[in-house]
Amino acid sequence: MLADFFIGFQNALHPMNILIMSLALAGGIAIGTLPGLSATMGVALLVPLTFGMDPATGLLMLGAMYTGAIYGGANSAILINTPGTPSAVCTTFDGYPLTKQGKADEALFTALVSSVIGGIIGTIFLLVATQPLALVSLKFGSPEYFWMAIFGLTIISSLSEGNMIKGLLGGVLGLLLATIGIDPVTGHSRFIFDYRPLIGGITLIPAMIGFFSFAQVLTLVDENQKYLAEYSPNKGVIGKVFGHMLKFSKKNLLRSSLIGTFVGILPGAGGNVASFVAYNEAKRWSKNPETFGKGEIEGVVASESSNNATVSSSLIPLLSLGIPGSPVAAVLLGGLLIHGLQPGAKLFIQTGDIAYTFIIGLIVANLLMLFIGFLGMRLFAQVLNVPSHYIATIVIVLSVIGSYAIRNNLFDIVIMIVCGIVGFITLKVGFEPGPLVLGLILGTLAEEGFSLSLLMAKASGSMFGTFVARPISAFLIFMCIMAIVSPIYVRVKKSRKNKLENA
Amino acid sequence: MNKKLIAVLLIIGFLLTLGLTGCQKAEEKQDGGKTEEKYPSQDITVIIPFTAGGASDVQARIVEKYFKEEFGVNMIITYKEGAGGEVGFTELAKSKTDGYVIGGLNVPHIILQPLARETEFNIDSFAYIGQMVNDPQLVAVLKDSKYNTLQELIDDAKANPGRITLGNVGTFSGHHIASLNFMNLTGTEFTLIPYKGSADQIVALQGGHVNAIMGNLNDVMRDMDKYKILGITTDERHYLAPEVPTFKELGLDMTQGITRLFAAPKDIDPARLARLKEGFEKIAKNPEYLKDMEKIGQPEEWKDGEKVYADLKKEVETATKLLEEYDLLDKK
Amino acid sequence: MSMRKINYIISTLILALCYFFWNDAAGIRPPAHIYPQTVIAVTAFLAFALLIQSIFFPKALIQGKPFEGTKYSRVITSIIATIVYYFVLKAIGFYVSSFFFIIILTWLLGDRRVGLKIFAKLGILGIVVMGLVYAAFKIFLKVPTPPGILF
Repeated sequence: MLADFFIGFQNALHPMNILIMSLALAGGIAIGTLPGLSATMGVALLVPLTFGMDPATGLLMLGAMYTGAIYGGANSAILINTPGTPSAVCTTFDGYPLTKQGKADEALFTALVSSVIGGIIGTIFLLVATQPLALVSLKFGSPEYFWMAIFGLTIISSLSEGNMIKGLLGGVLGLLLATIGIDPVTGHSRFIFDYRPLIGGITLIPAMIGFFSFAQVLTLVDENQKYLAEYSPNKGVIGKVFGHMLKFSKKNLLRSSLIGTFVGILPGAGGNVASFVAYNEAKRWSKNPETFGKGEIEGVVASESSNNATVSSSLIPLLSLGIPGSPVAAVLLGGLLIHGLQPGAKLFIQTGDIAYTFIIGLIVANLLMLFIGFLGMRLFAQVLNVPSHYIATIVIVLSVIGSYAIRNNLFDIVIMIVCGIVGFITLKVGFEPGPLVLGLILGTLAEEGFSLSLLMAKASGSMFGTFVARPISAFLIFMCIMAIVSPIYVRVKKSRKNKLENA
Repeated sequence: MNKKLIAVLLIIGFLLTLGLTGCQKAEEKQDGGKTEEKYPSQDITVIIPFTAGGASDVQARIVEKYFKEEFGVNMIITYKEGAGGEVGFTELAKSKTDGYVIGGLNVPHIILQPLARETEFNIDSFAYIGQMVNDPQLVAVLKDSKYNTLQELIDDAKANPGRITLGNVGTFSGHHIASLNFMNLTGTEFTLIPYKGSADQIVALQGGHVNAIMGNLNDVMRDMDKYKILGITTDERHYLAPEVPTFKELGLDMTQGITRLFAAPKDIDPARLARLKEGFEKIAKNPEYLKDMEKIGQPEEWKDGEKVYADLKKEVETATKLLEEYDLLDKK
Repeated sequence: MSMRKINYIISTLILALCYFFWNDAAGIRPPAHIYPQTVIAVTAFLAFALLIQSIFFPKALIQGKPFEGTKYSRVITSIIATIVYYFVLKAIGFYVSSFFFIIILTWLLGDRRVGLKIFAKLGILGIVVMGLVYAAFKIFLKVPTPPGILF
């Protein structure tokens, strides 16, 4: 094993590999930045290119593309309030307000550094704890997924800024939209109201592009300002960001990366769920939670470090069990198989050199990303020097092609436009898009978890035994209760304190 | 005034260019139709109705490797996923019939979906090129399970109707119909748990969340030593898993699998269909291709398009009967 | 329109939506109906709660006129242009329609000055953007774009 480790180390640092990884990173960052082009698509497009390469180099290229794409989503999230990937939805909450305050480069650089650190922490777990973590992921059955989805939904309460009822309503509407299409249990169609194109359902990415990108364009048009935000590069931004992170963000970084690592190992949940959970926890543990959503740099740190931590950890079930834990891992599995590699425990035994080259290469890719991302960041920030009506039109074109490209489906463009118009109107009347998109993300997870658990309960004859009396379920239920009770407790305590002060 | 004038001029200009180029294209097409003898002369689009990285995609990628050599043009893979493949199947059924759009189809999906719900395609919507993969269904349990033979599982299920869970992938899928057939033949009642994908199904089995699974050979092949495979639904022992007894040997008359085939829209020119058939058959018999297929662990089995269609017709009948028995047909 | 009135409209709309979904859900085979019906019921409950809140809560808590100052003409222009763009793109293909869309909508949203210079500028913008998109999508990524009779 140790020998394999050193071979891996050497291979990963081979100049040719470094060059290929750099190119793949740059491509990945670009793909991630453009709304609609997903990490899955980027990796899938590269798979045929790996046919001619030796397996390790091919895998490194795919891994670098994946890392870059998940990070890249932050750029557009911060600069134009449009998440490039679903994992970057939470980055918009504080990233865009920071841009509005003229601190775009600070937010961008924080996102980059957080992504790199999150990515490295996730990869370290991939290196040292693959087997135990894989076993944990097996412990998650349908009831656990159901409770995890419910726990995710409790985040809505902290996401809704103004009227709590509207926040919750947005969340359940997201759940409702997610049920359109084919019933996962009976296989019949439902809620399509005899309109054929709806059979494929309302999928996350076109809806997200609508609610964020297109709605944002309409907001820009409505605001009618010459530029998106004031922007002039700050000279000392690197020092400032590092200084801040060293001083204040250590706990947040560690917590968010661990959340990302943990959520990432679960097949069925990914960077999007991880960043919501990490954002919520960062807010919960923060000394001044009221600054979140208004340009709190810690919000960017939480979202970006957690989603990049999922990159490596989502590969854990693939590398150790041969089970693809995420759509990207599924594509990687295809790539591995075509090269004649057998994922699963045998990968480390039979082809340990390739496995370790890949894992160490991911760490190298993260370090490379610090430089490539920095160059890219400078370039992307120029967007703020382009008049906003130019940006509006170009973002519409990209939204159209992005929502089409995800499934090559013209109807997805219609979904995007409708969601955008609805999103613009509802934003005006106090519905934030965050809860709605969270509902869409968690909808399928919640329903599948619930319905399959119900079937299991029928077979075992015990509702309680299936839903509650399982260690992880019980823990998740406890977390749900805490999530609901703790804000109320804090509020009561605060009002009491206020009363005391007033008296 | 001036503004409006220019705007109007701009629109007229736009329409003119549109019209002109449109006509040009149309003319080209007419010429092309008459003079073009050679087929294929441009890239062929292949619709894959599932996600990138899925088993169908991996197989198509292997075909892609040999496609250019055989046809002289590229194969462009387009993913049209959604509704368990229905979106892609429908798309293929409605595609142009010029022979430049073909697609991958999965059986029994294309049989079952039209029975389960209103669809815009059925097995008569396609012209079949040929079958390339036949991935048989099997029943597997974990290594340390208390069941050692299929009979033990059946006996336990008879003693405890509805208490034993059997993992599936999807409803109205190959797994589902195989499970129904299995229950029907043995007179047992399992609780079927339809997971979203084969990965989820395997996690559920390895994590001990289901008692047994009705799965595909391809999915369990990767970690054969973690499971006990109780029986496989093929006529003879399978070349990739020769130690596994067949259902026939165990006294159950059922053969069931997921097959992957390629097809064109129904009204394709017969000469072009013949060319495609010829080419795909050659690829399917290429030793290099066969080696690749073994690497990815997909059981290959070439079957000619006509035979495919004849078999499909028979399968529709049996599936209809089975679904009727379990009251699952679309009643609308 | 005041926030209170808007809340009335929204809750009514959502309740109507729930009604349609509930009717459709009645036809789902058990036990698959439990989840969607629960979601619908919760949605309806929250919509009702919003209605009650809007009726009974003191004015101070529900205030603001969310649509005040909205530049309807610009927003509606953008929406209509996008819808037209969708239909044109469906007919003639992605690249040509996007090129004209960029020119037309950017002009409409700008200060609408007329002159050779401004159109030349917009034309160049269209060519550059579409050139980049073409390079990225068609050449580098090989992502299919919506086809049409043109390009």
